[in-house]
Amino acid sequence: MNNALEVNKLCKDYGDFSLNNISFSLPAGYIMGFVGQNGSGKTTTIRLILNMTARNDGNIRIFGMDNILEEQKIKQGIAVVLDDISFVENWKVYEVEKAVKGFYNNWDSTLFHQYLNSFNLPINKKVKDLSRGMKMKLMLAVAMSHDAKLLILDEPTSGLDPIARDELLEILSEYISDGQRSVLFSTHITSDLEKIADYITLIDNGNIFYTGTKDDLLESFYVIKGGLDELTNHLQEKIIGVTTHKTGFTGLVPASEVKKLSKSIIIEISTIDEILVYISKEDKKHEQHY
Amino acid sequence: MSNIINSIKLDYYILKSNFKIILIVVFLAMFIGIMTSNPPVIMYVISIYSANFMGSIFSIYEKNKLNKLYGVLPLGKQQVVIGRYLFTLAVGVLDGVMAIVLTLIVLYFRNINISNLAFISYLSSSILLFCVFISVQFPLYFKYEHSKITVVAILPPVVLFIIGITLFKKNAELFSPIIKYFIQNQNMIWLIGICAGLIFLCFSCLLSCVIYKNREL
Repeated sequence: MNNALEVNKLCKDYGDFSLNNISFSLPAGYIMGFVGQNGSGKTTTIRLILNMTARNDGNIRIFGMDNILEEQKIKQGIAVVLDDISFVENWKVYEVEKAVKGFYNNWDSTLFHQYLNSFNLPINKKVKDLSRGMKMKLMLAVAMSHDAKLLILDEPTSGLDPIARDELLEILSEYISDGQRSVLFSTHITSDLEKIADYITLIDNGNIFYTGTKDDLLESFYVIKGGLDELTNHLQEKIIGVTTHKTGFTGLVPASEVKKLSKSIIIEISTIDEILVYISKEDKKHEQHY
Repeated sequence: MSNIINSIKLDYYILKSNFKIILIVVFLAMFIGIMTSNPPVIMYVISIYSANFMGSIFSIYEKNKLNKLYGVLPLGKQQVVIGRYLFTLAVGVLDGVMAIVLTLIVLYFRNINISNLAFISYLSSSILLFCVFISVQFPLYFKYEHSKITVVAILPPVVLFIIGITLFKKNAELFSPIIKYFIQNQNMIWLIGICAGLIFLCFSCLLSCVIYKNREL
Protein backbone atom coordinates (compact mmCIF):
# COMPACT_ATOMS: atom_id res chain seq x y z
CA MET A 1 0.00 0.00 0.00
CA ASN A 2 1.38 3.44 -0.94
CA ASN A 3 1.70 5.87 1.90
CA ALA A 4 0.92 9.52 1.35
CA LEU A 5 2.68 10.36 4.61
CA GLU A 6 5.21 8.49 6.72
CA VAL A 7 6.49 9.85 10.01
CA ASN A 8 9.34 7.86 11.55
CA LYS A 9 10.73 8.24 15.07
CA LEU A 10 10.20 11.97 15.01
CA CYS A 11 11.63 13.85 17.99
CA LYS A 12 11.45 17.50 18.91
CA ASP A 13 12.58 18.94 22.22
CA TYR A 14 11.38 22.34 23.42
CA GLY A 15 12.74 21.94 26.93
CA ASP A 16 9.39 22.08 28.70
CA PHE A 17 7.74 19.85 26.10
CA SER A 18 8.99 17.18 23.77
CA LEU A 19 7.76 14.91 21.03
CA ASN A 20 9.16 11.45 21.56
CA ASN A 21 9.64 8.97 18.71
CA ILE A 22 6.47 9.87 16.89
CA SER A 23 5.78 7.29 14.18
CA PHE A 24 2.72 6.79 12.02
CA SER A 25 1.80 6.45 8.37
CA LEU A 26 -1.20 7.52 6.33
CA PRO A 27 -2.02 5.30 3.35
CA ALA A 28 -2.96 7.12 0.15
CA GLY A 29 -6.69 7.58 -0.34
CA TYR A 30 -7.69 7.58 3.32
CA ILE A 31 -8.58 9.99 6.09
CA MET A 32 -6.56 9.85 9.28
CA GLY A 33 -7.76 11.53 12.43
CA PHE A 34 -4.90 12.97 14.45
CA VAL A 35 -6.29 13.17 17.94
CA GLY A 36 -5.06 14.49 21.23
CA GLN A 37 -5.95 16.97 23.88
CA ASN A 38 -4.75 20.57 23.62
CA GLY A 39 -0.98 20.73 24.04
CA SER A 40 -0.44 17.06 23.26
CA GLY A 41 1.81 17.78 20.25
CA LYS A 42 -0.54 17.73 17.26
CA THR A 43 0.34 21.18 15.94
CA THR A 44 4.06 20.64 16.61
CA THR A 45 3.93 17.43 14.57
CA ILE A 46 2.16 19.24 11.72
CA ARG A 47 4.69 22.08 11.85
CA LEU A 48 7.45 19.47 11.58
CA ILE A 49 5.71 17.81 8.65
CA LEU A 50 5.58 21.20 6.90
CA ASN A 51 9.22 21.91 7.86
CA MET A 52 8.13 25.07 9.67
CA THR A 53 10.26 24.04 12.60
CA ALA A 54 13.46 21.99 12.83
CA ARG A 55 13.31 18.44 14.16
CA ASN A 56 15.83 16.92 16.54
CA ASP A 57 15.61 13.42 15.14
CA GLY A 58 13.63 11.14 12.88
CA ASN A 59 12.43 11.57 9.33
CA ILE A 60 9.29 12.40 7.41
CA ARG A 61 8.46 11.20 3.93
CA ILE A 62 5.60 12.63 1.91
CA PHE A 63 4.67 10.92 -1.38
CA GLY A 64 7.90 8.94 -0.81
CA MET A 65 10.07 12.09 -0.70
CA ASP A 66 11.98 13.61 2.19
CA ASN A 67 10.03 16.59 3.53
CA ILE A 68 13.13 18.78 3.85
CA LEU A 69 15.16 17.82 0.78
CA GLU A 70 12.16 17.99 -1.55
CA GLU A 71 10.19 20.61 0.37
CA GLN A 72 9.01 22.77 -2.51
CA LYS A 73 8.12 19.83 -4.73
CA ILE A 74 6.15 18.25 -1.89
CA LYS A 75 4.34 21.46 -1.02
CA GLN A 76 3.01 21.67 -4.58
CA GLY A 77 1.01 18.57 -3.69
CA ILE A 78 -0.02 19.52 -0.17
CA ALA A 79 -2.95 21.63 0.91
CA VAL A 80 -3.12 22.95 4.44
CA VAL A 81 -5.95 24.42 6.47
CA LEU A 82 -4.88 25.79 9.80
CA ASP A 83 -6.86 26.67 12.90
CA ASP A 84 -6.87 30.35 12.05
CA ILE A 85 -6.84 32.41 8.87
CA SER A 86 -3.41 32.80 7.36
CA PHE A 87 -4.10 35.67 4.96
CA VAL A 88 -3.75 39.43 5.35
CA GLU A 89 -6.95 40.64 6.99
CA ASN A 90 -7.24 43.60 4.63
CA TRP A 91 -7.23 41.39 1.55
CA LYS A 92 -10.48 40.94 -0.25
CA VAL A 93 -11.43 37.38 -1.09
CA TYR A 94 -10.45 37.77 -4.76
CA GLU A 95 -7.05 39.20 -3.73
CA VAL A 96 -6.27 36.04 -1.81
CA GLU A 97 -6.27 34.15 -5.09
CA LYS A 98 -4.09 36.79 -6.77
CA ALA A 99 -1.54 36.56 -3.97
CA VAL A 100 -1.17 32.78 -3.83
CA LYS A 101 -2.09 31.30 -7.20
CA GLY A 102 1.32 31.99 -8.78
CA PHE A 103 2.99 29.60 -6.38
CA TYR A 104 1.06 26.54 -7.57
CA ASN A 105 1.70 24.89 -10.94
CA ASN A 106 -1.74 23.28 -10.94
CA TRP A 107 -3.78 26.23 -9.69
CA ASP A 108 -7.28 26.08 -11.14
CA SER A 109 -9.01 29.48 -11.06
CA THR A 110 -12.30 28.06 -12.36
CA LEU A 111 -12.35 25.52 -9.56
CA PHE A 112 -11.49 28.20 -6.99
CA HIS A 113 -14.42 30.35 -8.12
CA GLN A 114 -16.68 27.28 -8.13
CA TYR A 115 -15.76 26.72 -4.49
CA LEU A 116 -16.36 30.40 -3.69
CA ASN A 117 -19.82 30.12 -5.24
CA SER A 118 -20.72 26.88 -3.56
CA PHE A 119 -19.48 28.18 -0.20
CA ASN A 120 -21.34 31.50 -0.73
CA LEU A 121 -18.15 33.50 -0.24
CA PRO A 122 -18.50 37.09 -1.52
CA ILE A 123 -15.39 37.90 -3.57
CA ASN A 124 -15.37 41.59 -2.64
CA LYS A 125 -15.60 41.08 1.08
CA LYS A 126 -12.50 41.64 3.19
CA VAL A 127 -11.04 38.65 5.00
CA LYS A 128 -11.43 40.41 8.36
CA ASP A 129 -15.17 40.80 7.77
CA LEU A 130 -15.74 37.08 7.20
CA SER A 131 -17.22 34.92 9.96
CA ARG A 132 -15.14 32.13 11.51
CA GLY A 133 -16.93 29.57 9.36
CA MET A 134 -16.46 31.61 6.18
CA LYS A 135 -12.76 32.07 6.90
CA MET A 136 -12.41 28.32 7.23
CA LYS A 137 -14.26 27.84 3.93
CA LEU A 138 -11.96 30.38 2.23
CA MET A 139 -8.92 28.46 3.45
CA LEU A 140 -10.51 25.25 2.18
CA ALA A 141 -11.25 26.83 -1.21
CA VAL A 142 -7.59 27.86 -1.54
CA ALA A 143 -6.40 24.48 -0.27
CA MET A 144 -8.53 22.50 -2.70
CA SER A 145 -7.88 24.53 -5.85
CA HIS A 146 -4.42 23.28 -6.76
CA ASP A 147 -5.01 19.54 -7.10
CA ALA A 148 -3.29 18.64 -3.83
CA LYS A 149 -2.99 14.95 -3.03
CA LEU A 150 -2.60 15.41 0.69
CA LEU A 151 -4.81 17.70 2.71
CA ILE A 152 -3.59 18.59 6.19
CA LEU A 153 -6.12 20.11 8.55
CA ASP A 154 -5.03 21.48 11.91
CA GLU A 155 -8.01 21.96 14.22
CA PRO A 156 -10.18 23.39 11.43
CA THR A 157 -13.40 22.80 13.36
CA SER A 158 -12.42 24.49 16.62
CA GLY A 159 -14.70 27.46 17.17
CA LEU A 160 -17.15 26.36 14.49
CA ASP A 161 -20.80 25.72 15.21
CA PRO A 162 -22.17 22.19 14.59
CA ILE A 163 -23.71 23.15 11.23
CA ALA A 164 -20.45 24.57 9.89
CA ARG A 165 -18.61 21.49 11.20
CA ASP A 166 -21.03 19.20 9.44
CA GLU A 167 -20.59 21.18 6.21
CA LEU A 168 -16.83 20.78 6.49
CA LEU A 169 -17.14 17.03 6.90
CA GLU A 170 -19.35 16.86 3.79
CA ILE A 171 -16.81 18.89 1.81
CA LEU A 172 -14.01 16.56 2.95
CA SER A 173 -15.97 13.42 2.08
CA GLU A 174 -16.55 14.77 -1.41
CA TYR A 175 -12.92 15.85 -1.74
CA ILE A 176 -11.52 12.37 -1.16
CA SER A 177 -14.21 10.60 -3.17
CA ASP A 178 -11.85 9.92 -6.12
CA GLY A 179 -9.73 7.69 -3.89
CA GLN A 180 -6.50 9.49 -4.85
CA ARG A 181 -6.40 12.02 -2.06
CA SER A 182 -5.53 11.64 1.59
CA VAL A 183 -6.41 13.73 4.60
CA LEU A 184 -4.63 14.20 7.91
CA PHE A 185 -7.25 15.75 10.17
CA SER A 186 -5.96 17.03 13.49
CA THR A 187 -8.67 17.74 16.04
CA HIS A 188 -9.71 17.35 19.62
CA ILE A 189 -13.39 17.21 18.61
CA THR A 190 -13.51 13.47 18.12
CA SER A 191 -17.16 13.23 17.11
CA ASP A 192 -16.09 14.65 13.73
CA LEU A 193 -13.72 11.76 13.23
CA GLU A 194 -16.18 9.03 14.20
CA LYS A 195 -18.06 10.01 11.04
CA ILE A 196 -15.31 10.16 8.45
CA ALA A 197 -11.92 8.84 9.62
CA ASP A 198 -10.50 5.52 8.41
CA TYR A 199 -7.39 5.69 10.58
CA ILE A 200 -6.72 7.24 13.95
CA THR A 201 -3.46 8.36 15.48
CA LEU A 202 -3.81 9.24 19.12
CA ILE A 203 -1.13 11.41 20.68
CA ASP A 204 -0.81 12.18 24.35
CA ASN A 205 1.77 14.41 25.96
CA GLY A 206 4.18 14.06 23.05
CA ASN A 207 3.88 10.28 22.79
CA ILE A 208 1.90 8.17 20.36
CA PHE A 209 -0.69 6.19 22.29
CA TYR A 210 -2.26 4.46 19.30
CA THR A 211 -2.03 4.49 15.55
CA GLY A 212 -4.05 2.24 13.28
CA THR A 213 -7.52 1.84 11.88
CA LYS A 214 -10.41 3.50 13.66
CA ASP A 215 -12.25 0.19 13.95
CA ASP A 216 -9.25 -1.49 15.58
CA LEU A 217 -8.98 1.36 18.06
CA LEU A 218 -12.61 1.09 19.07
CA GLU A 219 -12.26 -2.69 19.41
CA SER A 220 -9.01 -2.43 21.36
CA PHE A 221 -10.31 -0.61 24.40
CA TYR A 222 -13.36 -0.93 26.59
CA VAL A 223 -14.77 1.27 29.29
CA ILE A 224 -15.34 -0.68 32.50
CA LYS A 225 -17.34 0.21 35.60
CA GLY A 226 -17.47 -1.67 38.86
CA GLY A 227 -17.45 -1.62 42.64
CA LEU A 228 -14.37 -0.63 44.59
CA ASP A 229 -13.88 -4.19 45.82
CA GLU A 230 -13.46 -5.32 42.23
CA LEU A 231 -10.56 -2.93 41.61
CA THR A 232 -7.82 -5.49 42.26
CA ASN A 233 -4.10 -4.72 42.22
CA HIS A 234 -3.77 -6.53 38.90
CA LEU A 235 -6.59 -4.46 37.43
CA GLN A 236 -5.13 -1.22 38.79
CA GLU A 237 -1.95 -1.98 36.87
CA LYS A 238 -3.80 -2.49 33.62
CA ILE A 239 -6.56 0.07 33.86
CA ILE A 240 -6.04 3.42 32.14
CA GLY A 241 -7.28 6.68 33.64
CA VAL A 242 -9.11 5.09 36.55
CA THR A 243 -11.55 7.31 38.42
CA THR A 244 -12.79 6.19 41.81
CA HIS A 245 -15.77 7.50 43.69
CA LYS A 246 -17.67 6.43 46.80
CA THR A 247 -19.54 3.58 45.15
CA GLY A 248 -17.10 2.33 42.56
CA PHE A 249 -14.70 3.07 39.72
CA THR A 250 -14.56 3.63 35.98
CA GLY A 251 -11.64 3.32 33.61
CA LEU A 252 -10.39 2.08 30.28
CA VAL A 253 -8.84 -1.35 29.71
CA PRO A 254 -7.21 -2.97 26.69
CA ALA A 255 -9.39 -5.60 25.02
CA SER A 256 -6.91 -8.31 26.05
CA GLU A 257 -7.86 -7.72 29.69
CA VAL A 258 -11.61 -7.93 29.24
CA LYS A 259 -11.80 -11.74 29.45
CA LYS A 260 -10.00 -11.69 32.78
CA LEU A 261 -12.50 -9.34 34.39
CA SER A 262 -15.05 -10.30 37.00
CA LYS A 263 -18.49 -10.88 35.51
CA SER A 264 -20.02 -8.23 37.73
CA ILE A 265 -17.92 -5.50 36.09
CA ILE A 266 -19.86 -3.59 33.45
CA ILE A 267 -18.07 -3.52 30.09
CA GLU A 268 -19.02 -0.90 27.49
CA ILE A 269 -17.79 -0.18 23.99
CA SER A 270 -15.64 2.93 24.05
CA THR A 271 -15.77 6.02 21.87
CA ILE A 272 -12.72 7.93 20.67
CA ASP A 273 -13.73 10.72 23.00
CA GLU A 274 -13.76 8.39 26.00
CA ILE A 275 -10.41 6.91 25.07
CA LEU A 276 -8.99 10.41 24.80
CA VAL A 277 -10.43 11.41 28.17
CA TYR A 278 -9.15 8.33 29.98
CA ILE A 279 -5.64 8.48 28.56
CA SER A 280 -5.42 12.15 29.44
CA LYS A 281 -6.25 11.23 33.04
CA GLU A 282 -3.44 8.73 33.14
CA ASP A 283 -0.34 10.12 34.80
CA LYS A 284 2.05 7.34 34.05
CA LYS A 285 3.77 7.08 30.71
CA HIS A 286 1.64 4.99 28.42
CA GLU A 287 2.66 1.90 26.65
CA GLN A 288 2.23 2.17 22.93
CA HIS A 289 -0.85 0.28 21.76
CA TYR A 290 -0.12 -0.55 18.17
CA MET B 1 13.37 32.62 -10.50
CA SER B 2 9.60 32.36 -10.92
CA ASN B 3 9.24 31.82 -7.19
CA ILE B 4 11.24 35.00 -6.50
CA ILE B 5 8.85 36.89 -8.78
CA ASN B 6 5.90 35.29 -6.99
CA SER B 7 7.45 36.28 -3.68
CA ILE B 8 7.77 39.89 -4.92
CA LYS B 9 4.10 39.80 -5.97
CA LEU B 10 3.12 38.46 -2.57
CA ASP B 11 5.06 41.27 -0.87
CA TYR B 12 3.26 43.75 -3.11
CA TYR B 13 -0.13 42.38 -2.07
CA ILE B 14 0.90 42.40 1.58
CA LEU B 15 1.84 46.10 1.37
CA LYS B 16 -0.86 47.10 -1.09
CA SER B 17 -3.31 48.53 1.40
CA ASN B 18 -0.54 50.69 2.91
CA PHE B 19 0.48 52.37 -0.34
CA LYS B 20 -2.07 55.14 0.16
CA ILE B 21 0.07 56.33 3.08
CA ILE B 22 2.57 57.51 0.46
CA LEU B 23 0.19 60.40 -0.26
CA ILE B 24 0.74 61.62 3.30
CA VAL B 25 4.49 61.54 2.68
CA VAL B 26 4.08 63.54 -0.51
CA PHE B 27 2.22 66.24 1.41
CA LEU B 28 4.68 66.08 4.30
CA ALA B 29 7.66 66.31 1.97
CA MET B 30 6.07 69.19 0.07
CA PHE B 31 5.35 70.99 3.34
CA ILE B 32 8.92 70.57 4.55
CA GLY B 33 10.21 71.61 1.13
CA ILE B 34 8.14 74.79 1.26
CA MET B 35 9.06 75.65 4.86
CA THR B 36 12.77 74.93 4.73
CA SER B 37 15.45 77.09 3.19
CA ASN B 38 16.96 73.97 1.72
CA PRO B 39 14.27 72.13 -0.35
CA PRO B 40 16.48 69.18 -1.41
CA VAL B 41 16.08 67.79 2.12
CA ILE B 42 12.81 66.46 0.66
CA MET B 43 14.97 63.65 -0.71
CA TYR B 44 16.19 62.75 2.78
CA VAL B 45 12.65 62.82 4.16
CA ILE B 46 11.40 60.51 1.44
CA SER B 47 14.34 58.11 1.65
CA ILE B 48 14.03 57.72 5.44
CA TYR B 49 10.26 57.38 5.20
CA SER B 50 10.55 54.83 2.37
CA ALA B 51 12.96 52.71 4.38
CA ASN B 52 10.58 52.65 7.33
CA PHE B 53 7.62 52.04 5.03
CA MET B 54 9.32 48.93 3.66
CA GLY B 55 9.89 47.77 7.21
CA SER B 56 6.13 47.80 7.73
CA ILE B 57 5.89 44.66 5.62
CA PHE B 58 7.36 42.80 8.61
CA SER B 59 4.80 44.44 10.87
CA ILE B 60 1.92 43.27 8.64
CA TYR B 61 3.54 39.82 8.48
CA GLU B 62 3.58 39.62 12.25
CA LYS B 63 0.14 41.14 12.84
CA ASN B 64 -1.53 38.76 10.38
CA LYS B 65 0.53 35.72 11.44
CA LEU B 66 1.74 35.25 7.88
CA ASN B 67 4.36 32.80 9.11
CA LYS B 68 1.59 30.24 8.63
CA LEU B 69 1.06 31.25 5.00
CA TYR B 70 4.80 31.24 4.28
CA GLY B 71 5.11 27.85 5.98
CA VAL B 72 2.48 26.35 3.71
CA LEU B 73 3.47 27.83 0.34
CA PRO B 74 5.97 26.03 -1.92
CA LEU B 75 8.49 28.81 -1.41
CA GLY B 76 12.07 28.61 -0.17
CA LYS B 77 13.28 30.88 2.60
CA GLN B 78 16.09 32.21 0.42
CA GLN B 79 13.55 33.13 -2.24
CA VAL B 80 11.53 35.04 0.36
CA VAL B 81 14.58 37.07 1.38
CA ILE B 82 15.82 37.79 -2.15
CA GLY B 83 12.29 38.67 -3.27
CA ARG B 84 11.89 41.12 -0.40
CA TYR B 85 15.18 42.90 -1.12
CA LEU B 86 14.35 43.16 -4.83
CA PHE B 87 10.87 44.47 -4.06
CA THR B 88 12.36 46.98 -1.65
CA LEU B 89 14.86 48.09 -4.26
CA ALA B 90 12.07 48.56 -6.80
CA VAL B 91 10.00 50.63 -4.35
CA GLY B 92 13.17 52.56 -3.44
CA VAL B 93 13.76 53.46 -7.10
CA LEU B 94 10.15 54.64 -7.50
CA ASP B 95 10.39 56.68 -4.31
CA GLY B 96 13.68 58.13 -5.58
CA VAL B 97 11.99 59.26 -8.78
CA MET B 98 9.16 60.73 -6.71
CA ALA B 99 11.72 62.55 -4.52
CA ILE B 100 13.46 64.04 -7.58
CA VAL B 101 10.18 65.22 -9.09
CA LEU B 102 8.93 66.75 -5.82
CA THR B 103 12.24 68.51 -5.21
CA LEU B 104 12.30 69.95 -8.73
CA ILE B 105 8.68 71.14 -8.35
CA VAL B 106 9.42 72.89 -5.05
CA LEU B 107 12.65 74.42 -6.41
CA TYR B 108 10.78 75.68 -9.47
CA PHE B 109 7.89 77.26 -7.58
CA ARG B 110 10.15 78.79 -4.94
CA ASN B 111 12.47 79.99 -7.66
CA ILE B 112 15.54 78.55 -5.94
CA ASN B 113 18.58 77.58 -7.91
CA ILE B 114 21.00 74.96 -6.69
CA SER B 115 24.04 73.64 -8.45
CA ASN B 116 24.02 70.27 -10.19
CA LEU B 117 26.72 69.12 -7.81
CA ALA B 118 24.59 69.94 -4.77
CA PHE B 119 21.51 68.28 -6.27
CA ILE B 120 23.43 65.14 -7.17
CA SER B 121 25.04 65.09 -3.73
CA TYR B 122 21.69 65.26 -2.00
CA LEU B 123 20.23 62.57 -4.24
CA SER B 124 23.23 60.30 -3.96
CA SER B 125 23.40 60.60 -0.18
CA SER B 126 19.66 60.02 0.15
CA ILE B 127 20.00 56.81 -1.91
CA LEU B 128 22.85 55.77 0.36
CA LEU B 129 20.78 56.64 3.42
CA PHE B 130 17.89 54.50 2.18
CA CYS B 131 20.20 51.57 1.49
CA VAL B 132 21.94 51.87 4.87
CA PHE B 133 18.59 51.92 6.68
CA ILE B 134 17.36 48.84 4.81
CA SER B 135 20.69 47.04 5.12
CA VAL B 136 20.78 47.44 8.88
CA GLN B 137 17.07 46.99 9.62
CA PHE B 138 16.10 44.03 7.44
CA PRO B 139 18.45 41.44 9.01
CA LEU B 140 17.08 42.53 12.41
CA TYR B 141 13.50 42.14 11.18
CA PHE B 142 14.29 38.72 9.69
CA LYS B 143 15.82 37.68 13.00
CA TYR B 144 13.36 39.12 15.52
CA GLU B 145 9.66 39.90 15.66
CA HIS B 146 8.99 43.38 14.29
CA SER B 147 7.10 44.56 17.37
CA LYS B 148 10.06 43.72 19.62
CA ILE B 149 12.74 45.33 17.50
CA THR B 150 11.03 48.25 15.76
CA VAL B 151 12.49 51.02 17.97
CA VAL B 152 15.90 49.39 18.27
CA ALA B 153 16.05 48.87 14.50
CA ILE B 154 15.85 52.62 13.86
CA LEU B 155 18.85 53.36 16.06
CA PRO B 156 21.77 51.63 14.26
CA PRO B 157 21.41 53.45 10.91
CA VAL B 158 20.84 56.79 12.68
CA VAL B 159 23.88 56.24 14.90
CA LEU B 160 25.96 55.15 11.90
CA PHE B 161 24.93 58.24 9.99
CA ILE B 162 25.68 60.59 12.89
CA ILE B 163 29.09 58.98 13.43
CA GLY B 164 29.79 59.31 9.70
CA ILE B 165 28.85 63.01 9.61
CA THR B 166 30.85 63.73 12.80
CA LEU B 167 33.92 61.95 11.48
CA PHE B 168 33.60 63.82 8.23
CA LYS B 169 33.36 67.22 9.94
CA LYS B 170 36.22 66.56 12.36
CA ASN B 171 38.50 65.29 9.64
CA ALA B 172 37.55 67.67 6.87
CA GLU B 173 41.17 68.04 5.80
CA LEU B 174 41.49 64.33 5.41
CA PHE B 175 38.46 64.27 3.16
CA SER B 176 39.31 67.40 1.15
CA PRO B 177 41.19 65.53 -1.65
CA ILE B 178 38.18 63.24 -1.95
CA ILE B 179 35.82 66.24 -2.16
CA LYS B 180 38.04 67.82 -4.79
CA TYR B 181 37.96 64.59 -6.75
CA PHE B 182 34.17 64.50 -6.68
CA ILE B 183 33.92 68.18 -7.72
CA GLN B 184 36.04 67.33 -10.73
CA ASN B 185 34.20 64.05 -11.38
CA GLN B 186 30.59 64.75 -10.53
CA ASN B 187 29.35 61.54 -12.10
CA MET B 188 31.29 59.64 -9.48
CA ILE B 189 28.93 60.99 -6.80
CA TRP B 190 26.14 59.04 -8.46
CA LEU B 191 28.28 55.98 -8.60
CA ILE B 192 29.40 56.15 -5.00
CA GLY B 193 25.82 56.52 -3.74
CA ILE B 194 24.40 53.77 -5.89
CA CYS B 195 27.36 51.37 -5.75
CA ALA B 196 27.96 51.71 -2.02
CA GLY B 197 24.21 51.38 -1.43
CA LEU B 198 23.96 48.25 -3.57
CA ILE B 199 27.02 46.72 -1.90
CA PHE B 200 25.44 47.32 1.52
CA LEU B 201 22.19 45.76 0.29
CA CYS B 202 23.97 42.71 -1.13
CA PHE B 203 25.80 42.00 2.14
CA SER B 204 22.63 42.62 4.08
CA CYS B 205 20.69 40.24 1.81
CA LEU B 206 23.29 37.50 2.32
CA LEU B 207 23.14 38.01 6.08
CA SER B 208 19.32 37.92 6.04
CA CYS B 209 19.38 34.67 4.03
CA VAL B 210 21.54 33.04 6.70
CA ILE B 211 19.41 34.44 9.52
CA TYR B 212 16.04 33.56 8.00
CA LYS B 213 17.18 30.06 7.04
CA ASN B 214 17.53 29.24 10.71
CA ARG B 215 14.36 30.98 11.85
CA GLU B 216 11.38 28.82 12.71
CA LEU B 217 8.14 29.86 11.04
